[in-house]
Amino acid sequence: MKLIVSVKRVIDYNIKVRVKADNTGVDLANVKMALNPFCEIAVEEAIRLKEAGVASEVVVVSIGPTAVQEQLRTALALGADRAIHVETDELPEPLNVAKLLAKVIEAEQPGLVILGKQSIDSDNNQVGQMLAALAGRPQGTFASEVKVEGGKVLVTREVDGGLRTLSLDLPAIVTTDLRLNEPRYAKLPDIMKAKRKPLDVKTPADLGVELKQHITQLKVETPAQREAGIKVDSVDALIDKLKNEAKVI
Amino acid sequence: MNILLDSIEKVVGSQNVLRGEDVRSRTADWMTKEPCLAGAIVRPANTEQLSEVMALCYEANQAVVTHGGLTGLVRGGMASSDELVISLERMTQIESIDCVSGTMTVQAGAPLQSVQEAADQAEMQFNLDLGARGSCTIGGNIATNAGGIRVIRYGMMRDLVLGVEAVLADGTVVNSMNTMLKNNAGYDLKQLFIGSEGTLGIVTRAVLKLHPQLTATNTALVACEDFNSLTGLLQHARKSLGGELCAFEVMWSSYYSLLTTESNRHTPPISSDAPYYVLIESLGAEQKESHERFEKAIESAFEKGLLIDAVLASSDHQREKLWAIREDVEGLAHLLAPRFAFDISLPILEMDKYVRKLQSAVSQRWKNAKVIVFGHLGDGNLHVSVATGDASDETREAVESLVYEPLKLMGGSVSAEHGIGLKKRKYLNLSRTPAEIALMQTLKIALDPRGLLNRNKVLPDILA
Ligand SMILES: Cc1cc2nc3c(=O)[nH]c(=O)nc-3n(C[C@H](O)[C@H](O)[C@H](O)COP(=O)(O)OP(=O)(O)OC[C@H]3O[C@@H](n4cnc5c(N)ncnc54)[C@H](O)[C@@H]3O)c2cc1C
Repeated sequence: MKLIVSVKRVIDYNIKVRVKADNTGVDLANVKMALNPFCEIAVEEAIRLKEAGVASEVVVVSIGPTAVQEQLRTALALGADRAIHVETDELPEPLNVAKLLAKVIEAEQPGLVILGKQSIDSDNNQVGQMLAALAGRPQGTFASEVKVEGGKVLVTREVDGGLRTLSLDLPAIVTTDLRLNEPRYAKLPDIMKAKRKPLDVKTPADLGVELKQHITQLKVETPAQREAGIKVDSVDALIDKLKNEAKVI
Repeated sequence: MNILLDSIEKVVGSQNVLRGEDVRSRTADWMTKEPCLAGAIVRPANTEQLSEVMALCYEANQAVVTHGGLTGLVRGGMASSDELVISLERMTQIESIDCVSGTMTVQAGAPLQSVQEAADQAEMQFNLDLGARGSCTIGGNIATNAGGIRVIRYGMMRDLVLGVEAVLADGTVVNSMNTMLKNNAGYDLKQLFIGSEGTLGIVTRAVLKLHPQLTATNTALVACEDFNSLTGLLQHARKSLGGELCAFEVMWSSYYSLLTTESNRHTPPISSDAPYYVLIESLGAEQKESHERFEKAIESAFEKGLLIDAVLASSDHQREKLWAIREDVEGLAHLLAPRFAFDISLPILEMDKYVRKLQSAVSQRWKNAKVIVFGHLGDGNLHVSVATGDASDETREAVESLVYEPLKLMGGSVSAEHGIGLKKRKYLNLSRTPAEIALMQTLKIALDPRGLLNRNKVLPDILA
């Protein structure tokens, strides 16, 4: 069975984000970038399925400018077999991503598609679901466990107060949650081998998709600064502040 | 002491003189967590108050012990009931930052981490870094001339301090708050206070040296087959990373496997059957360029056979997990308790032989004893832990002599970065000549004639 994993290049999750002065977005100049953590988990899961003999090939896909090839190489170093880069100038909005992925799937005919449940930069949590709809395939979102058995995939989801397990017909779309696995590190010999693994570059036009913009981002702002707390020296002073400054009593 | 404390209360306020249970409920030593036995703890708010307090103590012949973050590892914070503790916990201000000159002026009680964060905010970097960053203070870092994990690139605390203000035993304030890189007007007095572990004066403020903020970190954990490859790798990393090499932290397999496979505290990123592991980190200005240089350096080391396996952190999260193995001192303490811990330096080329000899000497004497080694190899600094299963004074002394004696012949040091304090006092003569120790004593008498500051620490007793 062939697996497709889609991955996104995002700002490293530990980096403190700086908003551009004109509020048009986040400053990405010379900022450390990494695989989106949920995508990293998706790659790990795919490789484990391959190691377990369930999958025969793992194909990683990423959409965006040339720089995303860096993350594709990381995924190849982690154990994916080949990569597809769909080249676009900017990172397209979720619906466009889903349309592009749907075309890739149509061409590749995988048995299972694994994606991160959301990317930590835009927090949309939409691509997996949209893709399932466009491809007309069942979806199992927020997976905390994935098992392939008898032509089905069993997806366990952590819901409020318990676990819920779904059985989906293959091919299916699965999105990963944080606790699904602990991703491995890229090993040096594999990093070196990854440089020679196949990486195809395609354009949206090659896939027959016209990118349309449906969403306009108005502005990006940093959260309002919280004022530092103060100490008061008596209960009276506290009551006074709560009444007259905070106006909560 | 009570009359003195009453006068001190007038200077610092009664809430800032702690007595009784308030003193006993605090610890005096990070390692043993022993309670503080001092007569009282005095918490001045600024240099002026401390100067007045010390003038009063001088009058009354009152000995004092200075407390910073109490993360020191040589029992420098220990105080007896006839001593007062001066705690700098209220002197934590970051006074100013000058990005053009690259300087920051702070009060000595400021925790290291708050200084690092303030520098970050200003898009600069303060380059002392060590595991105790959250608790240790700038004053403590100066007093112990702290080292840490970036020494290979930026030097020890001494290299990161431009100016110091200190209060002497009699309350005199010595303001040596130089802010310039160059100042050869007479003696460089700040050096007296750096590394003298609070025996010559109490550091109250400092001018620190900042560097431009660099954000392109690259981290790898690698495994080496033998000691020669390890030193070859160090040379290779220095050369191929240019000036960007900023950490070269070695873990002997005993350390690595104890904290990964044997204890399950950390998932081993690479298998634990190699004899040596190194955490290598570079720090540069440009993400892409730095990353490419780093990857190339590691790849060519692999091709040359200097390393047998390696993982590269592909995110900051992975970087933190790699460092967590190296910095898990708590895990080490927990897994080996009781243990004796040492901080020694010796010529890099002697290290392997030294460790092997120590291992065999220790296991000859105590069959199931463990010798666990890691350290800042590039700095010639090893941290050695020996666990024999008991913690008696007798065993301690036997282990100490096995660890320390061979150093003398090699020109090594019984203290690489933690200092002498109380713990290593009687071994100072293994690393310093009689003439050096005599000159230290001359300085001590000149600055603290009544012997009030950190009494009985660092130096051997002065013979009258
Ligand atoms: C987890 C851990 C990791 C560590 N890693 C390292 C490391 O990598 N490298 C390293 O060098 N050290 C290391 N240390 C040791 C320790 O953190 C440093 O020695 C640190 O510099 C001590 O700072 P402090 O504020 O805690 O000082 P304290 O422990 O409070 O004091 C240490 C000594 O300095 C004196 N002193 C404190 N403040 C002043 C002052 N203002 N004026 C005069 N004297 C003063 C004290 O009297 C005492 O003798 C580590 C400690 C821990 C617990």
